[in-house]
Amino acid sequence: MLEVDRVSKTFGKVSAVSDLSFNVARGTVFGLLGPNGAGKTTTIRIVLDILTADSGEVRWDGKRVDGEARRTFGYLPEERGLYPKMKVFDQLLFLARLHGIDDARAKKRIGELADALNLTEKLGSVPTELSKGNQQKAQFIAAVVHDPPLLVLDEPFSGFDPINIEVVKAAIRDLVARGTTVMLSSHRMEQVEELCEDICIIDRSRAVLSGNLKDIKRGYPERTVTVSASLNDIYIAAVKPEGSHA
Amino acid sequence: MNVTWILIRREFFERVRQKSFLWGTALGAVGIILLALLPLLLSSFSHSNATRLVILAPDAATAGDTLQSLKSTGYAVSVSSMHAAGPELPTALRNAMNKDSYDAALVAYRDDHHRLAYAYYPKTSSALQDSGSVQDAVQRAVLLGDAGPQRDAIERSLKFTFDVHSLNTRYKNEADEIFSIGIVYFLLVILYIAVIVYGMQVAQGVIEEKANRIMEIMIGAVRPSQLLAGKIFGISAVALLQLGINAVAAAIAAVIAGVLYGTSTTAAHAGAAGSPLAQAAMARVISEGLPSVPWATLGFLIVFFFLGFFSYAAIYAGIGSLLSKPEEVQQYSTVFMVPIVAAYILAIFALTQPDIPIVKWGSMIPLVSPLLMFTRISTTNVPWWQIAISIGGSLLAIWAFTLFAGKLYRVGVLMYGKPPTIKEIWRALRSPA
Repeated sequence: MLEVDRVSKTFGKVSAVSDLSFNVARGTVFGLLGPNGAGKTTTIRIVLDILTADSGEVRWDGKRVDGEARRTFGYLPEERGLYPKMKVFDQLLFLARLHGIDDARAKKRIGELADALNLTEKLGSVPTELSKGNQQKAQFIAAVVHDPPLLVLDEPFSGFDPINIEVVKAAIRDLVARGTTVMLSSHRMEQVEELCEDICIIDRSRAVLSGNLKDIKRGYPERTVTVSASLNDIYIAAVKPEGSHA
Repeated sequence: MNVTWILIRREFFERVRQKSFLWGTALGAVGIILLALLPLLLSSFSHSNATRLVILAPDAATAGDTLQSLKSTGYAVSVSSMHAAGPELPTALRNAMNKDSYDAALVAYRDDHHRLAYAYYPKTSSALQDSGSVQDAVQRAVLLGDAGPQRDAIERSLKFTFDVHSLNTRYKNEADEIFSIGIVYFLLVILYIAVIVYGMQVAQGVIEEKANRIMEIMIGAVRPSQLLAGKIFGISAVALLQLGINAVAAAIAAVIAGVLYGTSTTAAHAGAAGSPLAQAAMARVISEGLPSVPWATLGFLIVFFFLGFFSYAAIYAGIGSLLSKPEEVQQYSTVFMVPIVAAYILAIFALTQPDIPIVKWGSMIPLVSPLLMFTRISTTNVPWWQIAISIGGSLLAIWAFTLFAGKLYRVGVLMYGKPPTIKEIWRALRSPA
């Protein structure tokens, strides 16, 4: 279990995170939601020990997160990046090695993930030759290639078209099935609704609502009675997923 | 696999695989060969580029004496068929000079007291600069020309013995000294350029990783100090490879020069080209090249290259981590180039005056010491304790710079946009590593 325990962080006079607490149960998907600038990325960086909290503690399996634990985590930053002139496959192998994965296992896993994300043909290309969506997929593989026990995704769906959002969602579900615990941030509620068991909504550095998503929804009166296809559904039907290449 | 080792390997292989590296290195090697052979090629194309001097004398005896005297200058001297009556340059000769036949004319004449006198008419600037040497050279002719009956005695006296018994343990004679200094100067330039070029690459590399945000992924798996070490060691391996290839190119140039001209001819060719000693020494540097450099000098070159490179690389990495755009490197690195430029200027002094206080003390101060101590070791006998202080001091400085750079890295690598304020840098340096 990941425990974020009364964590606070200020930058100069600006408070980025104040007294934030939440738990992420093993094998579940947790959504950290809130508007831009609410403190999501800062919270994520504290969880990953990239930033040090002014007060409070982050624990994984009951132990304070240190360099050793952090090395096992997977992280997809909001600001995506790869070496522009290094072949995608080589970068993924390089990143897997940094996480302590041996080459045989890494190569096998890269193959599986590339298959799942329709990226196999692009593994020999360099990122500058790829579309933005394919770059994002490569990045996603980079974050999960070492089978992390905890996967942290910062705005994982930004930049993807609706078809690829579904592809990535499927990949996330697949990882959860393999036992990965996922923490993701988003400012788009509809994108995370069907993935997350638990959520925490933060606004201006503070938690304003947290708990089990179903319980939260039950607490709010239903208001919508619309019965029409969403634009998402129409788009997906029109573009036909099997012919898609981001 | 060790994380730092993985980072070093990536840094090295990705850099040497780039087309820019392959082309740059290949062109660099070809450039070195051409550059080394250029003076030889030039001197073989133009039959002689020695100063052409024409002598005009009142009589054959004076012309002969003057010609004899000027032998030591290495000029191509010819004697005019005309006879000089006074210091004036005859119009016919002036016309010949204007037609580019001669670089200078020397008119010998008898003055009002019937004493031998000269009027020198240099046309080219190098001939003008040599006025003093010409004056020195013709002293012999003046002595003999005005000697009268004592001429034989004076001529005998002028053939005095002058042997050089060098007490300098390094150089046996002047040519030897110029030769050694030539090589040290050559190596010094390489050291200076390498430290700046590869130091800059470290800064650029750090900024690149920041700019394409790969840093964000890696920072999860790697400590900032490991990223820093990977960058510095990876690029230093690239630097060594490139320098090694250049050394091979230089050796090839030496072999080609040797085959084409032979060592003695080379010296003669170069000697004819102008000031004889320096040219002959340069020719030796070119044709004998690296093989004649003492192993100890090469060893110290490598030691001081690393000491210099690591000192500056740590600083450049620290600066790089605080910046966001490659253009900004130029701006900020100027400040940090001051010590290396200062060291280079001092090292030029140190080539001929390795024991003056500023050079001596400078050779023990980090950042300037690598260039200075290398030069001193190659040109004078340096007490071992000074070498120890120099190397120890540099190692200490590298340790401190790397520690600071690591701290800046931790704060800087995830900072984008505006350059940091002094306050932010100070806070970063004071934070625990």
